[in-house]
Amino acid sequence: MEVVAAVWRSPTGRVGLILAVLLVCGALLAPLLPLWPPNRIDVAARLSPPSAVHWLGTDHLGRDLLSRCLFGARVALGLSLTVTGLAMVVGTVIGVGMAYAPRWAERAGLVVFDLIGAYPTVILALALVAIFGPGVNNLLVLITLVFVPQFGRIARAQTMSLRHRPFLEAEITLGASPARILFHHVLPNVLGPVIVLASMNIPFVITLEAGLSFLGFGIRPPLASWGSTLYDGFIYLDQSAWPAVTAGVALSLATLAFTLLGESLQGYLDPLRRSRA
Amino acid sequence: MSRTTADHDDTQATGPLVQLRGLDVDFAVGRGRVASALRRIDLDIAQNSIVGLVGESGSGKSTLAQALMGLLPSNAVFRNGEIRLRGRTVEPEALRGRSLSMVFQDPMNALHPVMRIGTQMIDAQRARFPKLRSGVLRQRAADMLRQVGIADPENRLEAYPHQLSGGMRQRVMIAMALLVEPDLLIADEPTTALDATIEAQIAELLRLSKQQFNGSILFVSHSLALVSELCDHVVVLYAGTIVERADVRSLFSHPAHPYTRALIACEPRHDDPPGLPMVSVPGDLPDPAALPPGCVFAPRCAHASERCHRENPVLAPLGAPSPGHLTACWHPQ
Amino acid sequence: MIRYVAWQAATMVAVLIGAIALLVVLTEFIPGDAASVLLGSRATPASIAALRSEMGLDLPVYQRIAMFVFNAARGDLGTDVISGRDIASQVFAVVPNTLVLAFSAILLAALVGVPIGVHAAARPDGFFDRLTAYISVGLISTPSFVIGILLLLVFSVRLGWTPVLGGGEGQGLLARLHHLILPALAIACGWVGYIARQIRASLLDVLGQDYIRTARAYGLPNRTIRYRYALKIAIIPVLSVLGIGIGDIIGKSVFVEIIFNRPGIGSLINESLQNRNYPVVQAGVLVVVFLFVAINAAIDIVFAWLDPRIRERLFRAESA
Repeated sequence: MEVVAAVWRSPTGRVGLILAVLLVCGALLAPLLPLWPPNRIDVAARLSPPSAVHWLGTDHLGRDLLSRCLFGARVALGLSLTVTGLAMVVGTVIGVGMAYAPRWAERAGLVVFDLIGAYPTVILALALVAIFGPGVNNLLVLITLVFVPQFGRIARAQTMSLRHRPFLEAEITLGASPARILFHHVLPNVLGPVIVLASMNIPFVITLEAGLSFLGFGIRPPLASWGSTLYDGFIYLDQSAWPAVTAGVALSLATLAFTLLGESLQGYLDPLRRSRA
Repeated sequence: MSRTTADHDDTQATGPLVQLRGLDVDFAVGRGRVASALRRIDLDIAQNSIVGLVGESGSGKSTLAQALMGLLPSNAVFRNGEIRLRGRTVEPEALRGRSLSMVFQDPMNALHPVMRIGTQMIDAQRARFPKLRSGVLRQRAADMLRQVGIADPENRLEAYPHQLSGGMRQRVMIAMALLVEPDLLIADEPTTALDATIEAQIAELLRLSKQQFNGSILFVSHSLALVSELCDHVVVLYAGTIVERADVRSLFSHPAHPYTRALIACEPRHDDPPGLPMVSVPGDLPDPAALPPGCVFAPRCAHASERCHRENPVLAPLGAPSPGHLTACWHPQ
Repeated sequence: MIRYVAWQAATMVAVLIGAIALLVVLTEFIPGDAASVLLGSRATPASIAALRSEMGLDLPVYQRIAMFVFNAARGDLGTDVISGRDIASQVFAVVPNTLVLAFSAILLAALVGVPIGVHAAARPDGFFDRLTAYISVGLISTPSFVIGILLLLVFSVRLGWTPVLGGGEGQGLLARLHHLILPALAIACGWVGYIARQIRASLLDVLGQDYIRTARAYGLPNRTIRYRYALKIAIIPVLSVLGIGIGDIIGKSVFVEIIFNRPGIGSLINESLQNRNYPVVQAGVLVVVFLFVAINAAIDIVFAWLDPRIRERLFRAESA
């Protein structure tokens, strides 16, 4: 697709794309690679620095860090991509729907969005997770809920601004059906900003998941998560830097990759943007 | 309002105030292409006169005005050219706000939206009168506002630009330009963005101001009507070259260059009979990045000869009866 | 102006009441119920019932919301069933710490970020500009708790330059600053990148505007143009983002307070969450929301003061 080509052309996009592809591949292939099982405990080898046996060292239970990082990638990427995709779809449907809905429904929707928006994202996620409990499935639903309003707002705003464009009115006079207008004209234009938002959202969700797991409210052990590895590394920081550093670097690389990707997508999809970096 | 002491060089008191020699300006338009905006501009502005600069959109009028002020945008390349004030070569950047001031085309955007008029007018004077205190500068601003016809100037100074009408904003800009007591005031299409009724008022304001201060005005416009009323001398610009220059009476009574003749013919007159077909010049401005060889107007000129397409004419006097009337044409009428 | 402030205050109150309602409604969903969860395994039906009535859990939802709002307005956030102290004093004891951290972070980010952005805009696409761009993206995308842990590792654990724990209570001002610097830096890093980029972009935009050209036409010195004329407009998007950023910063301070073992509302919320002490969590979250909304309102008011067009736009739209 020409989008990929455009992203490839920009230097930031290229780096982001390469990193992201590497990460996704690493995550997908992890179970197939000849790695130490991520949950294999070996107390004798705990907190060891990188060696020929353990390429990135071990954590406080002797688990191989390389393996935990790659398996952590599965969780982080899987969750963030799924959540963002879900929030995007649900939010867009709701947002576009609100633009066509009767006034009271739209108002009600906006009020709900504002209420959710009054909470700083992390705090809201924490509160929800505290109430409904941690674990991958809950996280999926809850974090999606947290981000739906943003997508809804953008989808609605775009739809509203499009509805009154002259070309749309011309189509209506020519007899185009509402469905055709919706799918052929409105949706493609709504998708632009929505996709940009989604791309900027992914790093946020990755960070959020890591943060929640860091606090113990996210992914439950023994599932590997960068956040919990980071926390364990933090506890044992004075004895070995490796768990914290590897998890931290993995996290940073993932967020960097998708941020760069998102930026170059934004540059491509929004031609009015004049600032480069 | 009379001028306070300025740096007069008495031996030059009778020569032209401003001289432009050999000005060339190009613009980099991306992907290595270069557009020529102005070519070999030679211009004299006499003391105490109003010189009109006319041409259609894209002829380079604004570029010329900006070059005089040193306000060319960053992608402009000022290739050659000398600007002389009273015989001495100058850098326009040093004279901005002192010997040179400018009134811009769109007064809405030309004033800072979030600062009060008074503050902006005081700041505008600082380059010219660095030793005067703010209170004094403010008083001068209020007086000048009154002079340009704004009622209740003290309160107006506290206003923000969006609280004033377009005509008033342009008066404020003129007031600012006059406050620094410039040798040359450049008015870059000051009436283009305004309604027709306001247009007349602003032109009248400029004429009155000119009577009171001893500098000169360069009046840039695409309106021949305004120029004919306001100016002493007229310079006609086409696609970055001066094609004709003369005092106003001579230009309008015997226009020599085919382009000037066409421009004059194009302006509808109030005494034209109804139903008269409108005159227009066929063709378009040439692409500034790919100019034709020879005379730049030749592709659209009804009288073009083979020589016109080959050789670029230079500005030459018509001789008697109008010695000051110059035109760049191989076949002046 | 007064009308604008009143409008902001009214909106604020409405949002707060809504937030309280949402929170109270949500606590309905706690599996088991709040009382039995708190009591844990020591619960007997009698003690659960007693706690429930003490916590007001047996009242209908709307009544609980009203009670909460009423009490909150009087500054009463309930009593902590575990420690017996009143929650409000617990919360308000730690809020200043978080606020100090948040504002230090913002100040640091602004002091560093704005000049960098201005400098980058002065020579666009130059070496400094490009370097700033790369470093900014790196800083923005790295999560603050990662930066925090790395800073802790380098400066406290390995180099021993800064203290590892605490907020330096009971010690002098200098000690408190010493304890403050790494946590503030951890939060500020991401924002420095953002502010620098935003300032650069807005400045470049503003510098191309006609009113800047007028200022140059009157010979105003470059420094005046950049800092008084251009920055005044360019800084507006940054300020507006800071409003939302407060929420982000408070969220980040949860992690940073844990990493650096500082007292603050983040630590309090986390601790109470770990202990399933929901009333304290509720109060803490509400105070955070209050701060968030209040600071946003304050920023909107500052905007209206800075840019008089905003005040008039609001009322024109209202009467339309």
